[in-house]
Amino acid sequence: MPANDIVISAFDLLSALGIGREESAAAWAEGGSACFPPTRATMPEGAEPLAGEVPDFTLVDILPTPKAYLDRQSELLLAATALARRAGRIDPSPFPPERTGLAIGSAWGALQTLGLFFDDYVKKGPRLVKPILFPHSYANAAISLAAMEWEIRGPHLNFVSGAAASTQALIAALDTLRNGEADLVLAGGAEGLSLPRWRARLAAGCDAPPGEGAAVLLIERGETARARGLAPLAHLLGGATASGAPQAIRETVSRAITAALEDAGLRPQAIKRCLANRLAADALGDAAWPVRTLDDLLGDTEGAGGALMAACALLEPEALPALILTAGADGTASAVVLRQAD
Amino acid sequence: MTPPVRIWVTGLGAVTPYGAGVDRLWQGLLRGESGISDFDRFDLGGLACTRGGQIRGYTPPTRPGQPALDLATGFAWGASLEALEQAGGGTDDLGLVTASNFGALDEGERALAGEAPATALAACAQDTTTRRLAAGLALGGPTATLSLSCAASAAALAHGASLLRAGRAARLLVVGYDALSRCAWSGLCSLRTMTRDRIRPFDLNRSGTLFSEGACALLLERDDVCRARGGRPLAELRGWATGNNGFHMTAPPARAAGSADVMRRAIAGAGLTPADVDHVNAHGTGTKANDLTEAQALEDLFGPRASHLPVTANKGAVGHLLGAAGGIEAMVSICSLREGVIPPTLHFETPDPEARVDLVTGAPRTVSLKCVLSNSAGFGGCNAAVLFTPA
Repeated sequence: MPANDIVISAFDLLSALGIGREESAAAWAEGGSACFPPTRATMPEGAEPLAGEVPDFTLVDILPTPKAYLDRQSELLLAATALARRAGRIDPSPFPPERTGLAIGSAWGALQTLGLFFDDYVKKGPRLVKPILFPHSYANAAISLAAMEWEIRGPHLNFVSGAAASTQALIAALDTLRNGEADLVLAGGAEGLSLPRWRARLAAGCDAPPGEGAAVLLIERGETARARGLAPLAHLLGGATASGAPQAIRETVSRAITAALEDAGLRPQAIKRCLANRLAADALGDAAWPVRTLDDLLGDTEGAGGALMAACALLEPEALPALILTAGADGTASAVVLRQAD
Repeated sequence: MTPPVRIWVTGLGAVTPYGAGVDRLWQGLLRGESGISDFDRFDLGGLACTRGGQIRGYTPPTRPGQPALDLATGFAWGASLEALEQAGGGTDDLGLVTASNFGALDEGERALAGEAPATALAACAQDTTTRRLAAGLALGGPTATLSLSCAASAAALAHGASLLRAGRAARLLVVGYDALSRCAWSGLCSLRTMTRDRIRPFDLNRSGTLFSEGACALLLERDDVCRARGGRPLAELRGWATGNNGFHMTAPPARAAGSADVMRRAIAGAGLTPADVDHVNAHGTGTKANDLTEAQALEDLFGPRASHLPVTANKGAVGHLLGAAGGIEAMVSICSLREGVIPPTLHFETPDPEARVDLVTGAPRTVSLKCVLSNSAGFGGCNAAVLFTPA
């Protein structure tokens, strides 16, 4: 197997741009902000009434089995996973469950449900909490539900590393494939918009409009994709994470980029475009490449940002090779490199 | 073909209901002490389950000028310092992987309840402890935060080892931790996982688990890096695997197929076979379903050997440390490997004819060990296994 034959064979996404690739591609090409006053999520007092909400969708139209309860993050991840599986023709899957992995990222997990659960605790007391909510309040609820929905039993990693979470999930998927630990990894991220998350963001001094969304990418070897009759969409060439003091984020971003390009075997000049979250874009300063920041379109999608940016890069394959870059207020920067398919 | 990079464990740290330190944990387990007591940190509001592994009187050894730490991060901090001290070396190239169920929720909860300033809500972010540890320890390597319920710290060891093998870090501190919070206690109680009796792993009359708090820290490093700096390995992290049973949010599948699968993959990844494993540190929660299905998984994996393969379950003594459990049990596995002693499983009285394992009970068992497997599982079907061999 050539060292760089790890590919993205399919993907799908939901965000303020729309539901699925077609809607998203049209809105992406148009380029206007998709942040508006929220209609679904409750806003905290004092917040600017602007957020990147996913347009209304009905999960049962996407997912065959009804669910008694889902956290918003779980709902978005299940929807994105179902759409990506259809796009990748793995519904049903030809891959053994133990050879199929999941790597997912989110900054806040199921904080919406945790908030609901704790509201009951405070108002009614610990004996009258709702048992059904508790397992859905775990930060791994969404990835676990996806594993159950589709019997995905292989390597299983749930990143909650702030803004870098889903970028780290993509890197983990790459390493899993490189090590031969799986034949296919569904990698991505999901972040739901909820009142507790919005309040916690404000508490952290984050007053930019929040966004929500999910993107899932099917990552496998090029030969297995081609054997299934799928033309790879792009190569996932490399990635890296660097960390440092928050005040040294410029230097940390630079280290992450250098390491990611080295891992990818590309020179900086080969990159056509960088997609970055706001903090990473600010840290880049005068970058060598055109930089597009998703936050202006979608709101701050935090832990889902890396996967959403990778998905958006795939909407415009002529702008590959692309660098996907996320940085967090904790001083961590993660980057992945996508190249056009051979 | 280049042989895979070897991963050494060079430092261990723990804060458990026994107190601070790996030695206290190890000696407590060997002496058969219970870490369980009546819980009194917050009002349990009439809940039937009132006992757990509460850590009392622990003050994290913070440094001058360091901001006060939330409870969970305080545990993680203490365990990290102990592991770093044992391993030696600096922190310039040191990365960090943390793992828990609830992060720094004890702090976020107070804000949600209106008992702390709204700014404390920011601690609901799952990576809060990672940020605080990385800043306090001035780490220069990459950081990541995982949440995989009670398999979290075993999965973090697996992820840490993968990062080292891929050359993404030279040395990594892997920290598992959790504090008992109001959400955790009431939620776990509502699911009827907790017993009013003692925890009796693999006993016929087992009736549930009891939850504890604390932290574990294991310092992992690549062989070449360890050699170059003159580090002293404690054990080799030889195999690892993560997975999901794809079955149910809170119940294991028949014969714990997910556990059997990750244990099988961890052994194979080490280049070994089940015949090479000579001790299993089990997940052993003391619940009816877990212990039966885990015993069946061991039967399926080890065949007839399962009935005379020594198994221990530390939760009988120290309780179920949630996100720290897998790492604590990995640490105990390493101590067993080094000392040639397996600590007993507490409170075992009546064998369960359906859960047939060679459980170490009563007193520590002295046995020469060359390969120890530690198995972990958690809500949401999460599974992880790690395998250690001598340094």
